Amino acid sequence: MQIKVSGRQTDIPDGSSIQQLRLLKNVADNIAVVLNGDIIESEFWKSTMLNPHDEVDLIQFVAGG
Amino acid sequence: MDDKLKIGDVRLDSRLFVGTGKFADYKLIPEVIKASGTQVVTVALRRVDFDIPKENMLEYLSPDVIMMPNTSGARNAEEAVKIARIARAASGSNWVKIEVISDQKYLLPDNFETIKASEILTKEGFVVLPYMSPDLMAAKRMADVGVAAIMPLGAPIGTNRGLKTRELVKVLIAEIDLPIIIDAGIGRPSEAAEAMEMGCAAVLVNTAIATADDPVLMAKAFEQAVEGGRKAYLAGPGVTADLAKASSPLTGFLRNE
Repeated sequence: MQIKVSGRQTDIPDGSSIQQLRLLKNVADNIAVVLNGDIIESEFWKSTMLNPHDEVDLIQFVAGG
Repeated sequence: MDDKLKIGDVRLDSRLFVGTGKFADYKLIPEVIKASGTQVVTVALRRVDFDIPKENMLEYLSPDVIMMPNTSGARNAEEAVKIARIARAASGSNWVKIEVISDQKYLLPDNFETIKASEILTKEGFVVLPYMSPDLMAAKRMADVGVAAIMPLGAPIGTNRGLKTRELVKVLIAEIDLPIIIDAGIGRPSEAAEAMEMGCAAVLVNTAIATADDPVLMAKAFEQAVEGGRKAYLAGPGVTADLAKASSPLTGFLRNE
C-alpha cells in the first residue's frame, strides 16, 4: 500500500505497523512518530497499524542551538 | 560554597549551557561538552531525511547531560507547542527552549507568540526556557505563566557580537525573580564573563565555540570565563571613580611634604 513517509510517497506491505515501518526504514528508536498530525508514543508503535494514504513523519534530534 | 543554579527542580553546578549547532563534525560535541563542563545542551528536531541521512544527535549525548530541545522552525505559538510535544515524545526530557521566529533577517524572537506558547507548555508540565528579546513587560508575563528562566539575547543569533543588549538585560536582572540566561550573541569568553559579573545566572553559547579554530579549547575558555564572572559577581565588585585613588602609600621619603 502507498503511504507518505516524511513527505515522500512510499510503498510498504499491507498491514504494517509503525514499528514495522521504522524497522523497514532502518531508523533507530530514539525518534518521535507523528501519524496524520498526532504524536504516537513509542509504547503504541507495535499496536498502531498503518492504512493506505496515511501520512507519517519520523522525527529525530539533530544539532541545534 | 553552595552556589547552584536552580532551574525547575534541578540544581546545576555549571552555569554554561552549550548549543550543538554548527560543529564541523558531531564527533567534536562530546569533547566540547566535557571541556566546557556543561550540564545542559540544546538540540533541534528535524524530519528524518532518507535522501540525506543525518546521524541522530542523541548518539553523541551522554545521559548525564540535560537535553534542552529547541523549537527552532516555529513561526508562531501553535507550531512551538507542537514541536515541544514531539520533542518530549522523542526524548523523554520535559525541558524546552521556546524559540519562535518569523523574522528571517535578524532572527529576532517573537515575544508575544513566545508568551502564548510558554503558557500552554508550563501547564503541560514542561520546564520552559523562553528565548526572548529583552523586554521587561514581556519577561514579567513569561514569569507570570510559570517559565523556569528567561533567556534574552545579547545580540542576534550567530553574530558573535557580544552583550549589545546590556542595559535592557540589567533591568531584567533587577526586576525579574528568575534566572536570567543570555542566549545568543555571546562571541567571546570575556563577554560571557561580563554577563556573569552583571548578575546573569548563566549563558548559553553555541556559535562562539562551534566556529572557533579549536572548539574544545574554546569550550574550556568559556567554562573558566563563566566561573570567573560568577565569582566576581558573588564577590561584589568595588566602586568605580572618575579620579585616581592611590593603591600604594604616598608617604614620601624622597622629599619633605
